[in-house]
Amino acid sequence: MSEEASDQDKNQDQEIKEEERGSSTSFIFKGGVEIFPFEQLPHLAPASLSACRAQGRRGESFFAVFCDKDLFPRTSAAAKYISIRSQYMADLIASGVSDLSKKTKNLLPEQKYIFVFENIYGAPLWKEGDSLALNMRPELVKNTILPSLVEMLEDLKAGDLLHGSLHAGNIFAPFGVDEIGDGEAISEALIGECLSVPFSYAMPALYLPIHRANVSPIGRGRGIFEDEIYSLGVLLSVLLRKTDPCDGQTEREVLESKMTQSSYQAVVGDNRIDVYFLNALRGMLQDDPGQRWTLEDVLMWVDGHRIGPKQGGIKRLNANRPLPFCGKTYVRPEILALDFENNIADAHQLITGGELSKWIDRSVANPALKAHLQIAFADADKYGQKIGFMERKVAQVALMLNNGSAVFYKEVKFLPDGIGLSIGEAAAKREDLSPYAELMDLSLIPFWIEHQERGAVDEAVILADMESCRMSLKQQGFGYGVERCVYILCEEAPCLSPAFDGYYLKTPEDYFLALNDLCIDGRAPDKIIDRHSSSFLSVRDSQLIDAYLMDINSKTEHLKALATLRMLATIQLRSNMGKAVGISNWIVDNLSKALLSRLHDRDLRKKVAGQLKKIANTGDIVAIATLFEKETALRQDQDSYAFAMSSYQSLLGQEKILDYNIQHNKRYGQGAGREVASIVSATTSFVIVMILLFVFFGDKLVGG
Amino acid sequence: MKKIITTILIAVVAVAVMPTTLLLFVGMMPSIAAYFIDKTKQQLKAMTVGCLNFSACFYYWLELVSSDHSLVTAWEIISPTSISIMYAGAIAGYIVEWGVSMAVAVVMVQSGKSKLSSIRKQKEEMVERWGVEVTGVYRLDVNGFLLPKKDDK
Repeated sequence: MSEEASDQDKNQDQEIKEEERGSSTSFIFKGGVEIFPFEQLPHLAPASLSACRAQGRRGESFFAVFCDKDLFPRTSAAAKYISIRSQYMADLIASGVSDLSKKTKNLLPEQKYIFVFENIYGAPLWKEGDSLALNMRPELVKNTILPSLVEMLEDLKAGDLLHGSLHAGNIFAPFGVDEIGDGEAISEALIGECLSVPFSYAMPALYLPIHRANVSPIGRGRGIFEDEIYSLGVLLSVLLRKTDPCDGQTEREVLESKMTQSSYQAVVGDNRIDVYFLNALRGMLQDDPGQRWTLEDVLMWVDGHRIGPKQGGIKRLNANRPLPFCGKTYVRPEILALDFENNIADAHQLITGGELSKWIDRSVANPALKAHLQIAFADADKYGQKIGFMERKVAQVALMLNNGSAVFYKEVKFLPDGIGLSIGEAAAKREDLSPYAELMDLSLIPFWIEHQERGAVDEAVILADMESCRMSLKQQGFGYGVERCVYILCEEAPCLSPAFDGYYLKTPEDYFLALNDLCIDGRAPDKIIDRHSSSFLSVRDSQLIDAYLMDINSKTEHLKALATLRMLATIQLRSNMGKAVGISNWIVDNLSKALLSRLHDRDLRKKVAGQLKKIANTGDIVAIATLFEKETALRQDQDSYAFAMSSYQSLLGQEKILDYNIQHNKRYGQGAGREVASIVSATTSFVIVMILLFVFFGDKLVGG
Repeated sequence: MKKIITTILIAVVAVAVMPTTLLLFVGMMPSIAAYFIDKTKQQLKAMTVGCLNFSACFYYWLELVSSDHSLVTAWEIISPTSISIMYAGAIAGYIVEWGVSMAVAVVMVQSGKSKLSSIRKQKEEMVERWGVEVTGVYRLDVNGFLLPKKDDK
């Protein structure tokens, strides 16, 4: 015990020393990295995140990226990233949630997930506002940039990691090169980090294949390696082309252009590309992932082998008569499907009025598409007039018209493997989650999976998750419902409870520390367990809370309080969390009344209340829980209470009998009186007889 | 059978010691009456009266057995004076039976009242320590806690 105490003291001293280290504008992260949050490095910050300078113990140059709660950094990919160790990507030095020390909190008002990378980067090849036609010399691209990119892709594939941020804004010159000019200063291309935002989140839509580009950044899904090849193709095109064929076009126009002309044509346009790159770009920009070049094809091409683009690809259907819809005319079913999502009622009218069927039958004249549409109609009609039936029917028909495209329902839209991040973002932004719940109930995603032709997602995992979510939606208590679906589907999601705004809770231990911090600051929420935190804890570590969920959902206060106490004690004990004075005081202030009411014995209550006050200042929640363990105090109290009840009934019986005898039984005591009288009589009689014998025989003796 | 043998034996003995039988029969008439009046199983009244009645007869019986123990002597002993003395013993038995019974009953009632008061105090203390639920007259849950009243929200 004393050794533990001295260890804890040492740790505290070390924490204090580490906290004191660094200047007033920096804080220490993970014990060895000094972060300067005010020295921003915007060119290294993806999306809306912020990046800043950092340095190691020996002055090594690092940079830190602060991740937001609603952007779900790829924390689970960090281990793979570290294992890759490519010379073209910065090493990951440290990662984790910022601590809750006073100094860090002063500099970072909100707790963040932080990635610290080695800073090997100079200026990016492209900055916001630059033209997307960099017109680089083909030799520079071929000899300097391409080998770096390909080698890095090779390393990524070997490490089973998808980068998802392969675009010109995330390709950098080496450290120290602050101006690229015409690119001559580049000796090698370095690829920026990819962990701080989800796969392809920070990627401009141009770099993404058609179906992934037609979704909001958060709903783009987990990605496949073929997408990296596509992005490489677009990146090379951007580096090489002299003019941007998409200049001035909206994302939607670029998408339509890719769908009508093919991605290669839309991206390269009329540019005269060096012959060395032509076939490679055609191969890499194939819209059909099955026909796209693989990494092996790219490596062979880089090694000097001659490889042509693969034959085949996606067959684009054309109607011989345009279909009018919402003021526009359409000849391609897949582009018509794109506009269904914004015109649900009109699309439903088009479908149920029979115009769409006629158009497909007579003008598109594709028997396969016609058969697919019949499947969609029949499947949608199975649901009758259930809530959302109109949206479901339109979405199913759109999926058939544009196979493999995003799932849309009401205001949500995502690729099926992107539902996790999408629902996670909606929950983080406090948006209405009911469309997701309805969507899961309507089985739109299983329909998508059943009828998609490319097999690009892990169907079994998605279907299993969907089933778990459907089961969860059937229950409404804490730890269940749509909130649980958020954490089942989005494994990167931190705890999104409003009670913990300002904290980044990745694990139950983070939850415990944040709660303690809130309690110390006097900002503890009324309910430390709410729908989000209970779901988060249950999904992330079911052993911590599942045993107590029934009591947490109970309407009885003491059961709730006891379950909450036991859950907190389990976290403290299992994760060896050390003292938590904030939480223990909070428990005494807020739960003790309900907990003490659990004891029958009022005297014991007073005694335990005194013990609670003493323990509160030690921060030992386990000790508090022990006071109320079934095996100890509660059991003894219960046994004593049972004995007291029995004794009371016995007293009650005695009282009734006595009261009756005294009040109503006139012969009460007479039986005993007679017994006494008989004894008195017998004794007296015996004495008299003895006296008479003595007197009589005494006289005789004297007379004789 | 046992009763019959006993009765026969007593009859034989009574005939054998006829003077004693005559004296005690006459002298202990009140006890015999008490025996038939007392319907209780223990026959305590008969015992109380009988003991003192016997002690009053004992002196005359000693006189009888110390003389020739004949019927004539027994008849001579039975006189109004001796009968009065013997019956006075029986009366003393009745008085003891009534007086002691009354006294004991009064003591027991007082003791009962004191015990009743003690029981009520104990009950109050138990309610104070364990709450009203210990009385067993309220609706309790499986753990013995009061169930909320129906009008409680």
